[in-house]
Amino acid sequence: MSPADLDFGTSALVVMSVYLLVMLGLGALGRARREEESLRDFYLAGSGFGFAVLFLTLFATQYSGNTLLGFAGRSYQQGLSYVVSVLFMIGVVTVYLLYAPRLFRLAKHYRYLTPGDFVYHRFQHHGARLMCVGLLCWGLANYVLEQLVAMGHGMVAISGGRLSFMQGVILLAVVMIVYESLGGMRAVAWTDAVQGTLVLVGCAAILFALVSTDGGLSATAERVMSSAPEKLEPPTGVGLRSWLSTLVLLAFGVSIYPHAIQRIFVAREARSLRRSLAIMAFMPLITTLLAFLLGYVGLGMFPELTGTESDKVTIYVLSNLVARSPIFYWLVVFVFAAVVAAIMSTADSALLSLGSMFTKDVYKAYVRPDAGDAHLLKVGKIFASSLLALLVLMAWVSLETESSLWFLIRLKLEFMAQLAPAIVLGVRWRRLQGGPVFAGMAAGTLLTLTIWVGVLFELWPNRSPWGVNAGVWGLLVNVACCVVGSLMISNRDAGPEIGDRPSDMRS
Amino acid sequence: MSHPESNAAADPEKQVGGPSAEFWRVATPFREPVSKRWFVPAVLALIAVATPWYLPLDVATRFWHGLPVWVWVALSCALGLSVLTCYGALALWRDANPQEGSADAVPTNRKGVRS
Repeated sequence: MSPADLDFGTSALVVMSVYLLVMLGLGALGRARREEESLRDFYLAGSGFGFAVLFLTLFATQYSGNTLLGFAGRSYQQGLSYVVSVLFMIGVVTVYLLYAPRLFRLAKHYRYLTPGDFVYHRFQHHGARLMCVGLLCWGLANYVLEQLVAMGHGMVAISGGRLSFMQGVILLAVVMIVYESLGGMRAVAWTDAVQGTLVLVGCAAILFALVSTDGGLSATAERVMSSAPEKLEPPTGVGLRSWLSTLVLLAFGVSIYPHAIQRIFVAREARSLRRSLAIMAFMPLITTLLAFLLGYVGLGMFPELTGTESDKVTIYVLSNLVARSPIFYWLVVFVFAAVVAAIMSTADSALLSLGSMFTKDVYKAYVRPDAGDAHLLKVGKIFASSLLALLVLMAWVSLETESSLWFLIRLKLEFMAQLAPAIVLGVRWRRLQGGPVFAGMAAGTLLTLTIWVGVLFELWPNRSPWGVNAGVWGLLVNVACCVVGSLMISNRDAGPEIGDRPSDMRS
Repeated sequence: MSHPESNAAADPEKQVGGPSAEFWRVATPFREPVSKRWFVPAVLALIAVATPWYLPLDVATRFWHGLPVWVWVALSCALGLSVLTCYGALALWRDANPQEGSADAVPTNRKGVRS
């Protein structure tokens, strides 16, 4: 059975309708439970979350529609060497341990709202803050766009074609913006908790189904051996360098997601954060491993998929399961709801984060420094709604131009990773200075862009010179600028120390 | 649009230097994973073993439970990295700030030295 033949019937639409109503209800509940009309309450849910909600919101935010659709597609295209995805998703949590213990303490003490707050407070450099916000907004906007595209595909599949791609995108985008505008971070985290539970249970069930039916992985191995044996081989030469650079880029890039950093800020106490991260370290062995195996199983079942069709390998494999028994039918309906949940939970968090960065790091800092919280909240909501409308339009354009999901992922991570030195080194190395940090981010971004544009003009063959991702080359130059520049500056007289708390931190 | 210079009197950028000693005192937890010298090398060692640079190509034809052995090696290292990260979060990270009501608060015996 192919996705074109897939029809879940009206039962699946009823399940989705109930799910969307629950999301709206949680949004209304979040609004009813707000403690005050402030930026901090809206964007960080006031005093923060305990272990259970924190873990589920971290989980739902970290694992997106891209994990289940894009990663599986990449696994299908690249073969078994994409097992590196399991490693880099665990690496993301490991990278948190490099900076979260310190950033958590600073955020609690100085009441940071956004990553830009930390960057400005630490480096006292407007350029570094604006560069940080620019890179993060660029990355996050692409991230939301990617989720919207995945939403469209997901809704087409679950409605059996009753809803078009754009109808699906618009429906989910409207539901998302309504519950987010109502309840802010509180609503997002509670919906994340529901969505995270759906994703976790759905992934575990499908993982079990994949390894226990139709001959399991052994039958898949035999099929792949005869149809595409080269995809079973370990990487060599350029492939090994690509493996390592992907590991570095994804581990550092994903750990710098601002909506993930803001979840460090919303932890009620360090113990909740430590426990959440401890469990998060094992989650790739369920979710990312499932996506990897979906690609592998798809390779055995549907060896002829090419281009954007290979991005849909998850849908192909799940469609195949539906035909087997009513149990699998309901399991797949559940998983599709989980996929849509994963997409929405990531998109809403990213959108909330975009709103907070625009409001706090741009509007309040440079447009209306004297604005009150009520005005800022209104601006943030208008910005988020307008941006979402623009991105919905772009999702339609991306459908027309048939850009693949992986292309979009790379567009964001290559730039967002350039912020890693400012955060990871910034919380630890006292001699790191704002000027070199700004220069490093600018140089790293420029080099990455140059490599991408060079491919466009056919100056060189690919975006990974010597097998190393353009973003990693940028990161290397970035780190070199930070270290060399800071050492040169700190050899001069640094002068008196600054005050403890910048004026615009006191929201 | 008002310019950032408009509140220059309160603008910390007008002053020179890095964050205060207070900033670093606040930033430093009682204990953190990277302060253990073996933590980062252990992470790097697991990644080195997970990366199949040392394996012959014919490992692609040796299977165990439907996956090539080299994939099982990578997945085993992934599990090892999960365990190490979990241990780092639970056992090597202790926040110490009783004033902030941290549940990790530990009576200080830091000998007055902060890294």
